[in-house]
Amino acid sequence: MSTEYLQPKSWGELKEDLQRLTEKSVILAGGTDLMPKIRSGKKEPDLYLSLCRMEELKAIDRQGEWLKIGAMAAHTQASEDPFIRKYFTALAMACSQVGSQQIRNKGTLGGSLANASPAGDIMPCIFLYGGKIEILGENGIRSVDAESFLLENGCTLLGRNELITSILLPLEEERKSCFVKLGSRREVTIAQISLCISWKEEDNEKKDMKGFIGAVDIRPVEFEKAYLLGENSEESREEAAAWLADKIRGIRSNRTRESKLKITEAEKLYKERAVKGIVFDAADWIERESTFHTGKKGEGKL
Amino acid sequence: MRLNFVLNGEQKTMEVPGEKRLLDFIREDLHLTGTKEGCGEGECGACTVVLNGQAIHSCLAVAGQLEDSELLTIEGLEKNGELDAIQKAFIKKSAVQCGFCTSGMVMSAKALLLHNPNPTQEEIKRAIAGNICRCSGYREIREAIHEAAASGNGGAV
Repeated sequence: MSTEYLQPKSWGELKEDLQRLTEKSVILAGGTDLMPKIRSGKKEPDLYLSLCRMEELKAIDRQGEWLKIGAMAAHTQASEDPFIRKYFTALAMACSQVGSQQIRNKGTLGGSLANASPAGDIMPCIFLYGGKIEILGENGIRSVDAESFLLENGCTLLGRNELITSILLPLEEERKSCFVKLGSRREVTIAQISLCISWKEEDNEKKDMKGFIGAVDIRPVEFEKAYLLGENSEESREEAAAWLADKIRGIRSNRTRESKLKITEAEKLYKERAVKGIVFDAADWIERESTFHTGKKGEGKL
Repeated sequence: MRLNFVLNGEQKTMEVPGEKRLLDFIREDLHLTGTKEGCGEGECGACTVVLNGQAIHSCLAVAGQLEDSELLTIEGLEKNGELDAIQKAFIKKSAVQCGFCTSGMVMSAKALLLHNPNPTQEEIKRAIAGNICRCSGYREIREAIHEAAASGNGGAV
């Protein structure tokens, strides 16, 4: 089978090339998820559409009250961007903890969203900020809310001849946020549970707290009791952890499909028990945040 | 496709299928076999090369992505018969046992020192977190990178 490789450099070329994609074609962003699938034979592309030369898709720019992140921005780039670090700290933290340095240098935010892995770290953050996703298709660019971009069944609404061009995040200068995750090891780890929280500081109080939890269901799950983490007491932390444990238990009991992973009966209970740890980690971060400043590269955990 | 790129400091133009894995292109077409294939899925780091100053897995990239880019492989570190400071430090600190992970490990270290000539121990650990060594352990490797940084030449191109 002959394979074609397209590498557009301009919008005009990209739009033309996009119309040539068939059911078997692939769009290559960072390739960190796609390449192993091709290697293992799960995908046999007739055509590659590589976005690596689309410089415009790599830009991170403020546009009025929005931050526009090009779909081809890599995790390293996003985690080092001063604007993202300051105003979208949870996203910077999430990006800085994805995979290894090599993966962060190559993997892109757009690729992560298009791949829509339930264990992905970027989607929960985009949900947290109420972000929008811009999609290029046959009729130009359309913008959709992140929550409608990811369907209830965990698939995205991307059509065959469509791709993500950018992520739009609404800027609220007074909003702070953080991201914590629990994996099976400290570095180069895939989230077993991730938690992102945002809030506003008013009169030394934390208001309007929002939260999303990732990797516990096919979509990020809203943490409706995120406000408990602003109360800074042992009881409220315990209550928040208990609520999330219940939530995860509910998701597990309602699950009808078999897990793709071979896990033991004991392991099935792991997430609802371990969630307490990341609730406490998040609460610690929120408490410390008043002393946290976006510092130079490599400073602290971020 | 016709590819224009810089390989280890030298301008190249070559005809190549754009979708060919960068790792295979390096080994089979450029005949540079210092870059190794370990897992082939971006977990082990053995195939690490430096593309435009950043460490990447060559098993997860395609040759087309080289267009107008600068590729540095392990073979490009030696200059005029003299090894790079990182290579010298790996030898001095006995940071090599079977050697299969070494070229990837050295390239991750190179990318780190290019950006950050004076890394902390934590930054060194983080830079090589995606490079797996199954025989020597990591202590000597971390020490070697620290030594190369201290020599002040590890970040030289």
